[in-house]
Parts: sequence; structure tokens; C-alpha cells
Amino acid sequence: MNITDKNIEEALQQTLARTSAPEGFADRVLARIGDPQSQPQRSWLSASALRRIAAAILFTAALGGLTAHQIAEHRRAEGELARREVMTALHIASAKMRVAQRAVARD
Amino acid sequence: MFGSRDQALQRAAGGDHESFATLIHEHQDMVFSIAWNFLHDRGRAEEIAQEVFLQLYRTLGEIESPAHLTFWLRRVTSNRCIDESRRGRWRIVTLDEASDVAHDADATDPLLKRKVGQMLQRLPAQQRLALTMRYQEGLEPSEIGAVLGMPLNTVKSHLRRGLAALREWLGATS
Amino acid sequence: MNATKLLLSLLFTIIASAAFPLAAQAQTPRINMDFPELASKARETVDVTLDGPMLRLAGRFLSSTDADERSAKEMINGLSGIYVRSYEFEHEGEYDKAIAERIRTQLGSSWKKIVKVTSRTREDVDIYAEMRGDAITGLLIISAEPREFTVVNIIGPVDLEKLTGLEGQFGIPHITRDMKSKHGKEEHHE
Repeated sequence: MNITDKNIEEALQQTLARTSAPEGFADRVLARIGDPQSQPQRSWLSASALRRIAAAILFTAALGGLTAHQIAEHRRAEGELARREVMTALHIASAKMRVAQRAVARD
Repeated sequence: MFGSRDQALQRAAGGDHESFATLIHEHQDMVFSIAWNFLHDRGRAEEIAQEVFLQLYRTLGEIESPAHLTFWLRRVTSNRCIDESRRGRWRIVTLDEASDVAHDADATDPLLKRKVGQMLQRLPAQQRLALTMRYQEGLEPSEIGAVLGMPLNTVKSHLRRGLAALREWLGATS
Repeated sequence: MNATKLLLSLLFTIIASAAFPLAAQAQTPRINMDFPELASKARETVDVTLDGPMLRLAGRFLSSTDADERSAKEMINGLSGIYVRSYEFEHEGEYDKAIAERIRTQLGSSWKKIVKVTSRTREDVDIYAEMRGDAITGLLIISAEPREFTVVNIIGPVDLEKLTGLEGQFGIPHITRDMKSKHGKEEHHE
């Protein structure tokens, strides 16, 4: 069977079509809103307070250096990036090898 | 219609839970679907979607319009998906898992659809997100660039490479 | 005490000066593939630079259960670098194909041409391998299309079967053994 670009695009549209959120999703979100941390910021004062807290946390982090957890997270992100780059590089190399292979096979 | 959506947004920003519930109902399918299409894991897709709406609740005051809300939700969901993939917890799913969520009946070869669904999970995260924005949300490359915070050419490159990979893997003829 | 330190320092200097040239000899020099003039004109670019430590890191993150990633993991084992530059242009003829020559001139005598594919209208692909005895210790791929120029340099032992096999697992046939036997000869295909 010949699969055309059009077939692939149609399959993508259908595979990636929006699907319904699970039953009761909105209720579960609303139930979590009871958490004080989820309250909306309604005043400049609270936003400002949050900014001060964030600044203090950043300052403490800068003084104390990165925690082991942060280092591990950073390393993991770096590893994931390296993994993706390896796959990209090898797929490009492999595709070019195939072009040569087809030409050799035609010979 | 647009006016009532605007009002719902304003009321929700003022702390009205009912209006916020309306916003959730209006956008939950979009947010959940982005996470689902990226992760193919219902539990984690819901977890991300819930977090997105909780983050929205905390920052409602910064949302300027219904269009801004849609843009914000797409962007924050995408960012959370990328963060999730960087944690290295996502995995390649089997064909059975990929067909976990049923879509409407359609004319496309079901086997091809399943294959495409499976192959999508092999694509790099950025390509997968770009394709999701293109084919789930129907966005133009420039709009995808704005949502994902990428230059237009990078988006085009992700779309082109993603499609090329699918074509190669499926042994397609163009 | 000072005399001991001096002696140790001297010893270290001698060992270091003896070891570094050896290391430099053993390590294939990286080919310069950076062309700012191409990058500035290109509509899209792919730039992958993975040295030894990054490859080792990637190896820890590549899946052992996914067939494609498992192959990649095996492939990068023992490599000391993978470099890819790909430039895509808006229009045909926007770059000078002679740029490929600037890359070729960097190749030493240990590099052999494996395959040369030339086409008037489509894609020219040159593949070179660095040979130490019968072993391939490096690979260079230069691909020139009307609107795209790509260079891939892999440093270290490369298994050609496995490299092509990365896509072979998705239904694409494997590279033929003939190809290996043709190294050193120049092939023209239209």
C-alpha cells in the first residue's frame, strides 16, 4: 500500500485531534483551589510580598550554592538534551548513508 | 458571545469560582489534549492539566482577554510538557497504550493512525509539540512560534523534520 | 621537602610533555565545519556538537528498551565526537558548492573516499572514512543539495552497518556489503 503525505497529514489530524478531559476534571481542579497557595493575587501588596520572598529564596540559594537536587535536575536536563542531539545527529547521518546506498544499489 | 467570555474572565479574576469553573470547562479539552498528545499517559496528562489551571487561577489578574487566555494556556501547558520530558520520566508507549483514548470514527486507515500515534512518541519533544500545535490546534507556524517561544524558521524546521521522520519510518511515498 | 616537591614537579612535567603529544597523535583532529557565511545566509540551521563527555552523558540517557535508541547507544560507545552542521536555504544556488572542497582539503592521507554520488539535479553525497589498518576510525559525510548543505563528522570507530541500520529498523534495507568493499574507489552515480 502506498502511503502518501496526504495520508500522513490526515492521520496526524485524527491522531492529534482534541480529546475530552477525563470525567470530573473541573471538579478536581476546583477542589484543589481550597489550597491557600492557589488563591489569586488580587493586590500589589501580595505580589510584592511574593517577590520579596522569591528574592530572599534566590539570595539564600546563591549563598548556599546549588543543592544536590538542583544539580541532579540540571544534569538530567543536560542528559536529555544530549540524548536528543545524538538521535538527531545519527538520523541525519543515517539518512545520508541511505542516499549513497540507494545510488550504489542502482549501479 | 465574546463579551460574555470576557465577563467570565473578569469575574473569575475577581474570585468568582463559578466563572472560573466555566473557564475550565471551556478550555479543559484543549489543555488535557496537548498534555495527552505529548505524554500518552492519562494520569500524568491530567496532573499537568490540573497544574496548568491552578497556575491560571493564581495568575488570572494578568490575563488580558479570552484570546490571551487561550495563548497563555497553550504556552504554559507546552512548557510543563517540556519540563516533564526533561525529568526523563516519559517512556515510549506500546500500541495498546497509544490507542487508550478513543477518537471519533473516521475514514483514515486505522492501522496507519495507530502507527502514526506510535511514531509520534519517538519524535524529539520540540517536534512533537510543534506537530501537536499544528494538527491538534490548527495553528500556523508563526502562531506556533509565538506559543512555543521559537523563531519561525525553527518551527518550520521542526514541522518539516517531524513529518520527514514519520514519512521515513512509515516508508511513505511523497 | 622542597627538593622532593621540585623533583615531583619535574617528573610531572616530563611525564606530561611526553604524554600530550601521544594523546594528540591518537586523537583524530576535528574537522573545521563552521562556516559563518553559510549560517548567516541559511533559512534554517542544525548545529550539533557532541564531544566525548557529552556522548557519554547521552549514553546514560538513551533507552535500552527502545530498539532505535539501543542501537544509538551501541553506536556512540567508543566515539569521541559527533558533529553535524546542516544549512537550508530559501532558494537554489544560494551557497557555493565549492565549500565542500574546503572541507576535503582538511583530510589527511588516512582518509579514504568510500562513495561519491553525483547528480546534476538532486543530491551529491560524498562519504569518506578514516582508516587505521582495516578499521574505520572516523567518518565524514558531505551532502550538497540545491537548497541544503550538510556535513557530518563522526570521530571514533564507526560501524557502517549499524549506522544505516538505525533506519533499517523502520523497514529500510540495510547498507550493502558491496559498499564497504568499494572504499578507496571513486564511484559516480547519476
